[in-house]
Parts: sequence; C-alpha cells; structure tokens
Amino acid sequence: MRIPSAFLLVALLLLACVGFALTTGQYHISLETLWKVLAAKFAGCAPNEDLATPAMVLWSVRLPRVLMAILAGAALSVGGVVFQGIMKNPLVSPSFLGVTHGAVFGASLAIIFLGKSAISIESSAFFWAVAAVAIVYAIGGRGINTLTTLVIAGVIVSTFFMAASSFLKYIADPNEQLPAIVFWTMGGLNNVLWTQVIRAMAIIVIGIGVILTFRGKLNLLALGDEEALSMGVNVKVMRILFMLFATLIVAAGSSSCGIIMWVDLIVAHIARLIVGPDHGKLVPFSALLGALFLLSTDTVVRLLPGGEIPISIVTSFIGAPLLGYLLMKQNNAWKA
Amino acid sequence: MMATLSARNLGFSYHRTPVISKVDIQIEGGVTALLGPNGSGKTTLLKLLLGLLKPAHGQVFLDGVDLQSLGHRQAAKRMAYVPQVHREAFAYQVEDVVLMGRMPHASFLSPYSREDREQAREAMERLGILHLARRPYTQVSGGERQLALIARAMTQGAQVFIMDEPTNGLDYGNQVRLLERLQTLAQGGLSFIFSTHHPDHALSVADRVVMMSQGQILRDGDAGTIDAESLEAIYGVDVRLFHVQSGIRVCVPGLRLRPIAC
Repeated sequence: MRIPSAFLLVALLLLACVGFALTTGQYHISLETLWKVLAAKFAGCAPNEDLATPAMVLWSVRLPRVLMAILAGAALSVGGVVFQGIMKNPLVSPSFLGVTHGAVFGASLAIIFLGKSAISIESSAFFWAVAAVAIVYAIGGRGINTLTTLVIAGVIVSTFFMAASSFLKYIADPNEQLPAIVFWTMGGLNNVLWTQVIRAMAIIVIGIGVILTFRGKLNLLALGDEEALSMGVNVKVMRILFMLFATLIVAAGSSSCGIIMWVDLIVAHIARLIVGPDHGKLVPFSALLGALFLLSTDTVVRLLPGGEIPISIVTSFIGAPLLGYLLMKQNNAWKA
Repeated sequence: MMATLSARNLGFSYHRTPVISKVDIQIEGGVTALLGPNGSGKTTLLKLLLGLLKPAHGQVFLDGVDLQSLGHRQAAKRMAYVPQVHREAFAYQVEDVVLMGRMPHASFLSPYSREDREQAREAMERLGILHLARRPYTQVSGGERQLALIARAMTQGAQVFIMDEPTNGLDYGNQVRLLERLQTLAQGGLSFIFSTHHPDHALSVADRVVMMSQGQILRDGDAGTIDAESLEAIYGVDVRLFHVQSGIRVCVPGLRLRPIAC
C-alpha cells in the first residue's frame, strides 16, 4: 500500500468509526439527529426540545468518551513509537520502563488515601507514572550504552511498584476501594468527563507536537547513539526529552482511563510495518491508527451484549496473540 | 582545502585503567591505517578523535580548533564517523540513511530541504548505489551498507572519515572493493583513518601506518614502516613479509612456512 493511501484509508475509517460510535449504543441516535445537534451546538444556540435527550447523551456521555478514546489511543501509540525508537527495538513499550506499574501504584494510592475523585486518581497516577520512569532513568540511565540497563532498571522499578500496589490492595477496604483499584487497572473509558478530556488533550497535543518537531533527531537516535552523537545530536539531552514527552503523553492518556494494555506496543509495531520507520510519517500515522484501534475497541466493548467489560481484557485478547504471531514471523515482520 | 585532524598528548582511562596515553597524531589527507592487537586502544583512539569520548589528558584539534570547544555539530560538518556495518532494528530506506548525514546542517524545524536530498543523491551516485535508494537498508548486502554509510559521511560534508574496522563482516571481494574506493576518494582530497586487523589492508592502500600497542603509538610512518619485527612486536606471532612485485608486499604468518609434518 502506498503511504498516502494508507493515511487516507485510516483517516476515513476513523471518521466512519467516530460516526458509528456517536450514533450507536443503548440510546440510538440517527445520523440526521447527530448532525442537527452538532450544528446547533456549533451555531451556539440551544437545541430544540425534541433534541434535548440526544443532545444530552451526545454532549455529556458519548462525545467526551469518543474524544478520550481517540486521544488515549493516539498518545499510547505515539508513546510506543518513541520508546521503540530510542530503545532501538520494535518490541518494547513504555510499560517496560515502569510507566504502567507507576500509574497503578499512583491510582491505588489515590483511591485509598485521597478519596475516589477522578482528579485525585488521575493526578496521582500521572505523577507516579512519571516518577517511576524518572527513577528508572536515575538507576539505569548512565553513560551512553544504557539501553539494556534501562530495561533492567524498568523491571526492578516495576516489580517494586507492583509489590507496593499489592500491599495497597491488601490493606484496601474490600467493599469499596479494592474493586475500584481492580477496575482501574483493567482500564475503561466510561464516565469520562470533559475536564479530563481537555486536560489530556492539552498535554497530548503539545507532546505529540514536540515529538514531531524533533522527528529527524529521533530517526538518528533510532539508528545508533554514537552515530547520532557523531552527527551533532546531543544524545543525552534528546533521549531525556523524548522519554519525558512520551511518558507525559502516555501518562496523560492512561491516567484518566486506567491501564489499557498492548495498544502502545502493537499499534506502533503495525504502523511501522505499514509506513516504515521514518518518524516524520510514523508518528502521525501511529497516532491515527492508535485512535482508530482504541475507538473501535471501546465501541465494541460498549456494545457487547451483557454489559460493558473492561477494555484491557479486549485489547490484551487482541494484542497478545498478535504480538506472538509477529514474533514468530519476525524475520519478515521486523525488517520489512 | 584539506581538513587537518590532530591530537596532542592524548590520554584516556576506563575506571582508572589507562587505555590510551601520550598519543600524538596528525592526519592531513591520504589514507591512514591503524594497526594493533585487540585491546591496544584503537577504537578508543578513534572515539577520542571523533569527540565521542572526552580525553582525560591532552586535546584533539580539528583545523586547529579544540574539539571540546568546537562542539559535535560543528565538528560533524567536517569530520564523519563511519561505523562498522551493523544490522539495524529498523528498516530505513538507504536514501533515508544517507540523508541523515544532513542533520548537522539542518535547521531547527524543517529537517531536510530539497538541496539536502540532492546532496544525498549525489553522494549515492558517486558511490554507485543510487539504484539502491529505495531499498530497505536492512536488506542490502554488507558491502552496500558500508557504501551507504560512506555516502552518508560524504553527505555530511566531511573531509575526514573515521572508520572503525570498516572491512569487518564483509566478504573478500567487498573488502577489496571498499579499499579501492577509499584510495580513489583519498586521491580526490578526502582523508581517511581506519582501524584494521589485516596488515595486508594497510600494506595495500595506506599512505601512512600507525601501529599501536598497549595504548601507545609504537610506530608511525609510511607503509614501509610495516616490517616483520614491528608486526611481531605488536601481535606476538611469527610473521614474514614478501615482495610479490616491485613495491607490493604481502604479509604471511610464519606457521604456513613450516614444513608439514608427516
């Protein structure tokens, strides 16, 4: 597939998916109604009375949820691309450097000690996700050839945070707090609020913008640290910058919707197979593809008969076998 | 104008173990071969010359300016690192790899201009790999990859090429072709310094040979510097040199000259 047509195809599919996600659900909204409600909203006037219910459903439930799915999907995938690039390995993801377990610890901490408000869970998860990566970097980020030590430091820090989270689960109130922790770790885009969408959007748009600005340097880092250094790239500073912004967007994407497994690794990997490793194309394409993947998964999860199930269960059921398949045929898949 | 790379009283240690000490070297045009056994400090010296490592003692000068004050970006416009052929994780197109050589010249926001692409294509054409431009770098042969890395260094605008065992991993034909290429490019005014484990490579193309042992320069001179004694001194094995034609010498390990016991 030529690259522009791949972009076009994914963009069209995403658009179709947005239309479908906004109109389908327990309360059905026709495309015509959707159009009227949006038109009224953009015109700045209140919708007619017969449109009050669909307007409410759209505005306070579906639209924030759809936007969050798009943002989180894009953020996780771009985070995956950046981490794979700076680690020079197409099969790693931010979770290898402690992001996931840091976020789980932060969310658990907030649920137990700070009450279960969205803002406290979100900010605590965000803070501890960034802190986990910072600790990983402090332990393993010395010298120039530090990629292996970084991954090992990631394992150390992840294990520590996992133990800390287990301890928190152990002391949590089994009726209220424990289920909240468990559900958060399984991820979900239900109950997304506009304030969360806007916070996430600000961080994610800026983060992806910065990453795109430095795409050329990311290409060099992905080729080799010493080569990049010999070509005038400040490897240490750039690596910290990329890790910082990738962690920020991943934390922003996952702190308001819990842990969503596999999206980062799988989408980044597949996007690279389609458009190649040049980050100028790969970053925007993986953002689109990640948005499409998470939005379609979330829509499926929402429409499943028998009620909604946590999204990580579905992404893992898709992601793990897919990665296994890619690993088995890696000679073609990695290098193609 | 030919670029000059020189080092004065260079020293470097890993964890207080000296790896390089009291090295003086000056490179100005031609092909310089760096010979020495494993652990003699060849790679460390090359990395110091490139500025990838900070010297513990002494200084490296590029056109008379201290490398530490010049900075990587400015140095990269005149001096390039051609690494050993390696297998990459990501399948960049050959063209993209060559284009990366324009990074030191690129402006902050838009990495590569039309002229940058033009220069990359020129370098590929000069090295005869233009037909590979759209092929994945990971799927061309080792020799072609080495040419792509040299093309990238040329795209960088470098006058001095620093190569760490460039023939490593190449088959015999590609080793010879690469050395011929270095000789041709050097005649065009570029300078090369490469480390090698093959004295014959030094004998065949080097205008100058630097022999290292235990972090110090043992000998430094034209290809005539290489003799049986110096090779035995640095490698610790029996070596003979033979004249096969006027001015052409080959190096043969002593073991082949012993009669085969029946």
